[in-house]
Amino acid sequence: MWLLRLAFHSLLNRLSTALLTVSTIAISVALLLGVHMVRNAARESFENTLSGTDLIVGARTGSIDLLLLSVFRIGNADANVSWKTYQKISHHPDVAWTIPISLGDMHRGFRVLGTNGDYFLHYRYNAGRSLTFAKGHAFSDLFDAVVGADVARAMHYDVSTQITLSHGTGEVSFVDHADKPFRIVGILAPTGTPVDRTVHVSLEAISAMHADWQGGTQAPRKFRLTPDEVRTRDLTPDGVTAFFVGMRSKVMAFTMQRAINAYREEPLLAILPGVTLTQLWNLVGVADAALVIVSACVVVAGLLGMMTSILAGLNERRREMAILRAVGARAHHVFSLLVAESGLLALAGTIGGAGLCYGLVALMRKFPGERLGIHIAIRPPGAQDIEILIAVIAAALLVGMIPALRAYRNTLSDGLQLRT
Amino acid sequence: MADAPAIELSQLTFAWPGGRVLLSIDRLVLARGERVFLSGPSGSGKSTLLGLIGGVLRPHSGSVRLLGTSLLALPPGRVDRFRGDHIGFVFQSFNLLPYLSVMANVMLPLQFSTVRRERLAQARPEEEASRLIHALGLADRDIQERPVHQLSIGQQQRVAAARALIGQPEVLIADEPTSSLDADARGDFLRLLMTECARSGTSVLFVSHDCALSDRFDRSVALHEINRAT
Repeated sequence: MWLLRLAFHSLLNRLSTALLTVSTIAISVALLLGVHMVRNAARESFENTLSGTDLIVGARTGSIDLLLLSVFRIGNADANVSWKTYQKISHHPDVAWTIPISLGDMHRGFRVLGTNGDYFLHYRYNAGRSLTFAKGHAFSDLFDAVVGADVARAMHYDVSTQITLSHGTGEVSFVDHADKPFRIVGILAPTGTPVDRTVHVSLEAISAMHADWQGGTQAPRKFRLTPDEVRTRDLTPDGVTAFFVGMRSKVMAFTMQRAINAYREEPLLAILPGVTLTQLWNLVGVADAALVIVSACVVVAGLLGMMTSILAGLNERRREMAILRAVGARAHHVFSLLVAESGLLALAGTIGGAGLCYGLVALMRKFPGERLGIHIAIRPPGAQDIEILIAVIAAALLVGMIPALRAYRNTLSDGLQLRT
Repeated sequence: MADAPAIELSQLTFAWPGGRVLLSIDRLVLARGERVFLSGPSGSGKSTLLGLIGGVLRPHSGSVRLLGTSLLALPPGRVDRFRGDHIGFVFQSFNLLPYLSVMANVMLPLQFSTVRRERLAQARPEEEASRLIHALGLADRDIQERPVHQLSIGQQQRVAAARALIGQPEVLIADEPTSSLDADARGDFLRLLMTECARSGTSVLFVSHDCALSDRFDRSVALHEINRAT
């Protein structure tokens, strides 16, 4: 305890060097903690993208492909699920609800998703939260559209804005469905999920847009249907890209999954979203682990910097050590004093780093939630954060033994007296 | 061993590795409470001799006994502890830790030596430190909490002396403690130091090249007279 106070006073005497060392450690610790926090938040946000859905069903493909397409709206489907099959499964007695989705069109870089009213009723994210409208309501007319929060903000859309959808899923499309404009009737509240970046229309609207299309190209101008003509047609879709399934009982999901995967009339794939989300995260997790390793290396660099500065200072402090020896400090006291010094620097550095990290997160609290789709919650330091801080201090004590050993050896050879 | 001499050197020789023999002393004894003035020109091996007595250097041959204990028989760690418990040091200059207050500097030896702490008996460390600071002529009360670098050299040496004497070590070794002082301060310092040592019965080995000071001591020894190596 006494040595700790001595070390503290000695550090105060070299305040500017000490502060530099402390800030190096603080910045590196803040980085490590920050990466750790963002990583947890990203993972949580990722796992919160979808909840309450027991199965996702699509045409046969890879399970991660199906997840990316249906939940993250990334990629394209090679085949559809036929409307007949969709009807058959959705009317199965064990099935509580289904949400059909139909992807394939874009609007200014945002995916267009055809669905029905069940989407707004049954879609759940973030541990059971349902979608809510910031403005307006669900689509009711054929040419109504509901946009996610990001779409509305980025494009400055409001209720009753007219928009045109584009054919295909390229970033820039040369074929617009300009002849069939849509009217925005609802804007969803932000969710921090891909829903925010989606334009929602009815399944019938998807059919209507393509009613005068044949084999992937639009009919010549004179054969095109006007919006009013298309309303008279039968707009029942031929199929859907995929659909979400909620079972009456969770345990039935496995039986249903097996049944769908073994369905004879059409090659289908049913996935358990939780399992596939974990698989996908493990894939992404490699990059994520690399980030942690890099930030841990920064902490190591910070501690080595501390060691260097203590080592460099030792020569000037030989007199200090000699005085201590002359008043009765034994070599092991000198050793402990130097280790205590490293410990104090690291303690101040980790406390400063934690403060810096939490301060920055508090400052940027709003920013990532809306922009990146990640929401970082401010929590009191968790067990893992505290483990990290303790590990940093322990590492500092270990590194601090190197200058301590040097000082120990110096005092043995210098004796009690230094003359200038 | 209460009546063993404070310091007893016999048949002592010392040489730096690869060098010629620097010191060769048949016998040098300091009785308990005796105050000895050791003189010698610079470079005559005075500091080396103090290193040997302090146990920092090991002699080539011969024996060094402090208070009846042979330093050469003790393992290095025990030598350090023995020195901290029984010897107070004052050097020519730079005796104090600049980042501690006067009081904290004076009390430093008590932190490292239980023996010296216990010798305070009933007195609290602060009281004893304060008493010594006063006894050595630093009467000003606010001097105690002042940072060391604000003191004059003379004041610093008095603080160093108070620190060497706290907890009543049996032996005080002073290596040119007055060489940085002017003549007046030198006389004062020496008088107060001697009074305090007499009070606590501390033996003094006072090393200086300034023979004018020697009449204040019980005995005067010239190093070049007892050292057969030169």
